[in-house]
Amino acid sequence: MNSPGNDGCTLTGALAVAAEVRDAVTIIHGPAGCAHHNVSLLHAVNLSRGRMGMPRILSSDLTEEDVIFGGEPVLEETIRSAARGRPGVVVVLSTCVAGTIGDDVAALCREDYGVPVVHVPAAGFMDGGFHDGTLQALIALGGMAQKTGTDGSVNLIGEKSLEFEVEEHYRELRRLLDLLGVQVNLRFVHDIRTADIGRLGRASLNILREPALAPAGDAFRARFDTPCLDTFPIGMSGTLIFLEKVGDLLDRDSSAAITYETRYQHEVLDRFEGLRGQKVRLDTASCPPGNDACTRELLEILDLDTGPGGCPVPLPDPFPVGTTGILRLLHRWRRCVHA
Amino acid sequence: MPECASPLWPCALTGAATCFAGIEGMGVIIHGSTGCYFYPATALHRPIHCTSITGKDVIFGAEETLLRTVEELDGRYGRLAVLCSCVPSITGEDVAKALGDRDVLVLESPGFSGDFESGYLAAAGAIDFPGDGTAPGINVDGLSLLDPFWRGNAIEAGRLLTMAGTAPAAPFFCGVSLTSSSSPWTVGANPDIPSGKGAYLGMLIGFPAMKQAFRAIEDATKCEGGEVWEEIAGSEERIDAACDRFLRRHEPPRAALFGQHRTMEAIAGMLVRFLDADILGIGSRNTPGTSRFRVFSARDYALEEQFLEEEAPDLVLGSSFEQALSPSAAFVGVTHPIRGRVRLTARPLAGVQGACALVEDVLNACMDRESCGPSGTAGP
Repeated sequence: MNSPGNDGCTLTGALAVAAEVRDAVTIIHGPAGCAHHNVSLLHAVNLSRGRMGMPRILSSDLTEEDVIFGGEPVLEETIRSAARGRPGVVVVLSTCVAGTIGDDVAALCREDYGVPVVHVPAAGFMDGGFHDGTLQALIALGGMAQKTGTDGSVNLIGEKSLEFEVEEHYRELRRLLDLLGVQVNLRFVHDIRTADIGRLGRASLNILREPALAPAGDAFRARFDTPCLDTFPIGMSGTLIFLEKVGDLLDRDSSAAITYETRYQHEVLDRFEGLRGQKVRLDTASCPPGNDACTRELLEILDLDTGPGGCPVPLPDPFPVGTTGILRLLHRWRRCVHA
Repeated sequence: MPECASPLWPCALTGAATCFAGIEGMGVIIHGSTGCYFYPATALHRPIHCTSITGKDVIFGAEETLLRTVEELDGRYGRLAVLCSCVPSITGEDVAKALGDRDVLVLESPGFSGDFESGYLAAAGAIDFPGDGTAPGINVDGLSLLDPFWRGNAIEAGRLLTMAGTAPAAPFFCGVSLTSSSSPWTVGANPDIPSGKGAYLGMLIGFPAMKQAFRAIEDATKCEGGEVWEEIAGSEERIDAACDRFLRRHEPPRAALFGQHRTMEAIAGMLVRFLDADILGIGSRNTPGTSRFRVFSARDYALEEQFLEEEAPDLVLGSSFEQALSPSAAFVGVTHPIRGRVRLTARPLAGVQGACALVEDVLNACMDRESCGPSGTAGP
């Protein structure tokens, strides 16, 4: 059966990127229902982060009549309407419906509206899934930046803006980069303005949120000559390897940072000494391979016994970032063991 | 201006899925892309299925994909319903023909065809129950999985009907089974999504409507509803006393309401009756009917923002969209979505307890706003 897995709509993936450009207007070219689904999701995510405002999202609000006669006139009018407010950029996302009726969205976006207009193909099923939408949006927005000199900083590419713990992951990453004395140049794309995109080429290293974003890393390497690290720090040993790799790629000595982090990891594990030898049960069926390795490592370090009859504990996807992410995970596991 | 800024209400497809997903034994298949699936799947908290059609299906036809999905669900449900989303509706697939003589309910509900209510009502009209009109008691309709109050409303309606000497019959459409028998009579917990099942005896939102409904129930069933009348009168008295006490120290609120029109109309009536509130307007998510208040269409975030800036209400009842737009107003959540707060209790909006809970929330939100500055909020 074509049962949906964890991958969502292309449109949602693209919007998760575009909506993080604060002075952008994003147009969803399709029926209002497609936009509502995503507006509702972004609203929930924003509230959970204490952001009361909403990103500026317009729906071209295709009706039955537009489906019959074509949606290009309403899209053009919607782009012009958005452009009148002089946003930093207008991002146009097409939907399944626009794709099916054959609207030439790309051609309309090439016209002159007095502000930059970026088209992200996001026609639901026709252009892939959530991940493809994210990639398309990152690459399309990255096309707005020019090559500049580098300054030893890093870009964070493709943070999962819809993720509940996105800020906690960012803080952990900052903590680790601080150990190396490395600055973050740009969160691409998370809570930035259009003008910030111009800084994309300044970083000396792009750090991808996950390996699946490699096409974006490749595109930016080709455009700006920026090398790329393929993942945020995941797992105990993965975090130490991350420090080593960032150090190598930026030509910095990482030994002091690794020593510090190793000591911190021991302190964290000491706090959960009471978990040692406990019997737990993990739902590994839905666990991506990378997570599986991190989880097995943690189970071995803590000498946890797995199997039927064990206490069920959560296995997050994606796996939490860094040592502090593992600290929070172990609190959740201990809570379950106490239950 | 053709566009709609940040549309605030779901489409017909979600409405239809909401209705069918609330029926026990009914398997719901969304015939469309995964994007059409994820919103109802996450908002309704019920297992639903999707054909997850791809570009290839659009070119070569999605009948095979649909058949595969139907066959794999064979035996897991008493009956299957296929909801056709925008794309199969545009490509003009003959879904019924593709399914042959299988007992599958097919409903065209493309999102572009209308709003949540139109989809919900179309689905309600498309399904019959074998024992329609034969069960004792009174059906309760207007129960929707998307409604944050549905569980509380179902419990409260059952409590009041029992007090009235009768009993709750089929719950349309949250928990009703494919094999349920329904009563010849129905009361509504949400007048904006009537089931069309049984003779409608009235709704349970607001005291005037509630009294009218229980008089109609007495007439229809010949039950003596003595206990329910005491419950209504006692609660009205308690609300009266609390509101009178509030008005001794405070101005009546200047209120704006956002939600389904008939429900908001009834709530606005309560605010006027108990608090002498000034109703600045009702922002209607669905197509509004006639009203004694100012009513406007509220499916566009930007238009709402403009209204709230101009009118500056000190009390807002609606969803967390309006809460976000009115940080300086007292807020009470009455409309989906109510985000950003933990909700575990089965709080009603309908019935006596629903009225008490609503007025309690309104008074507390208004008092919090005045004592703590403009940040008072309340909700379920």
